[in-house]
Amino acid sequence: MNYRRVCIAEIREECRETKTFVLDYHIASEPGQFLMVWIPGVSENPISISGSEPCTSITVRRVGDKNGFSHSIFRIKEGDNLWIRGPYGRGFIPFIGKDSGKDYFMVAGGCGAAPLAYLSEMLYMEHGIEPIVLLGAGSEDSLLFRQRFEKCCAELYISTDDGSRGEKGLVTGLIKKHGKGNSKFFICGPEEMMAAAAENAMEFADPADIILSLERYMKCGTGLCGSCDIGGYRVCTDGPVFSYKELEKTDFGKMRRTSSGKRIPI
Amino acid sequence: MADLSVELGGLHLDYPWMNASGIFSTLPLLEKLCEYKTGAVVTKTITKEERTGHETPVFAESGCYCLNAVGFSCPGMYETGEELCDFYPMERPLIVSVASLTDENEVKEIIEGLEGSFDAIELNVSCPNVYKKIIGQDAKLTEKHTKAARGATKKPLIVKLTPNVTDIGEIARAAEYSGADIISGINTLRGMAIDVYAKRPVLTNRFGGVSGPAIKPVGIGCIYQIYEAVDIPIIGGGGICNAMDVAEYMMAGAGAVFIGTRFYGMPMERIGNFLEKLGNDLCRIMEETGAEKIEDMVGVAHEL
Repeated sequence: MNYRRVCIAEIREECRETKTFVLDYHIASEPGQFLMVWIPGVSENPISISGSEPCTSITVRRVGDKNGFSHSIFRIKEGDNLWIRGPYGRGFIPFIGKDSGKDYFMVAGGCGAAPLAYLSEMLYMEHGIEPIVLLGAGSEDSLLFRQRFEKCCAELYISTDDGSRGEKGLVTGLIKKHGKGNSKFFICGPEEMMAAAAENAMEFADPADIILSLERYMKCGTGLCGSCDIGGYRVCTDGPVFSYKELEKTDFGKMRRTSSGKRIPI
Repeated sequence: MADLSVELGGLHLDYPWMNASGIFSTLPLLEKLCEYKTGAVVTKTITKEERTGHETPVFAESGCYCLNAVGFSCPGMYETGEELCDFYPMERPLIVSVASLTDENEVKEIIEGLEGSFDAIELNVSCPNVYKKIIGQDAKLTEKHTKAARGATKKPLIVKLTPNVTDIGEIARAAEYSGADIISGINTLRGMAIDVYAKRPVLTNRFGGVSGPAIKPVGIGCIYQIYEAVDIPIIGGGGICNAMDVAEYMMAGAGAVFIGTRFYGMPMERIGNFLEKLGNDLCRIMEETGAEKIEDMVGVAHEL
């Protein structure tokens, strides 16, 4: 599809260096899917959808190069435009259902909270499922979407690297502490964190019930170019959501490809 | 069930189609594609040096076409050569696409550097997105590059042509004369898309290559013209969406085809199902048109 020009209806400061941009428009999407977002004159980036009721939103953390995408989107004001195409990819929905009685765990590290908050709200509103949320960040001021999770979860446990809130340590540690047998895990965050979390979750769940949302360098977003290959899967079209079982024998947690296609360690 | 296998310029293909170069750019993805019904797999074009390609957006889409200017992203011949060593041989014939960004000596250097980890070479002289002048727009340059590639390998040599020319038959003849075993085409058509609200070209590279259903009649016309110009086999493509399109390319003169943009948005499993159905549909068309094997269809539209 062509680009759709959208207007930014609202900008929310979520936590340190993290803003949510609410569009003036509702895009039919499912949690885990992403949009290709173009800032003319800057670049186009894949961004996970962070909410969709009533209007679609994306959440971005400011990192890296001053002229790069995240710094540029931070200069956008309410009423300004963005150009989007999508939504693309397989989200979390194919992994929901047919498993009544299982506890649903959300394991979110940093910005990984974005698709998981969207998923938790949808599970709560449409399926009556209240997940157990394990939310981690560097410190208290970078915890993302704590309030959104609180409104729809059964239990919420927090960890911070510096101990400024909740347990001191990594969110992966919370899995060992609060995990329960016969559960389903939804994990999103930096890849090293996801790899460690998936390993810890193996104690409580089958690999087919450990669900992860991945990120890779992307160009087309539509499955054609193959830039986002992770060992025989294209993250943009076969994913970005995969089960841990599917990711066996892939580069998950180990290698990624750069914009030239070169494989380098994570 | 009709026989879908073909012999083409020294290649045996179980099915008369393959992916277009640049689609599914990595070897793990091509290995996955080999699990499905495909006659061969084709790599993304390999360049000598590592290249990141153009800045995003490199891709624009509409209902009837895609426009891309990836710009030859490639880890470079050494890196890719090592990866090729790990994957070759594959379950299907592996066609490696190469291109020189300088002169014809680089073609030779790249092919020799791959140390035989391929079943055929596809010499890309037709990318619309990186050259000041496309090599395949000049018969003399095409000749030089084809000769260099011919000198570097005894395996089948395919030369992929651009439709952005006045007379594609002349270029095809130059490639044939210089030792090509097979002609392939068409590469994408040079084009542009402008976003009216952004008031600028969508692609950072401004120009890109048009693919998809919109270009099919251009492709059919080019293959028809090439078929009349040369005696070597042709791999045709450009905008193929279904078996009817495949049959159309064959009747224009293609002995096999390549498919690219049609895979838009398809998860791997669906690609498998699509190729399965493509085979069944093509068999049905062959029965309907009285063809027992693929070659019964090739070029029949010329016998007027």
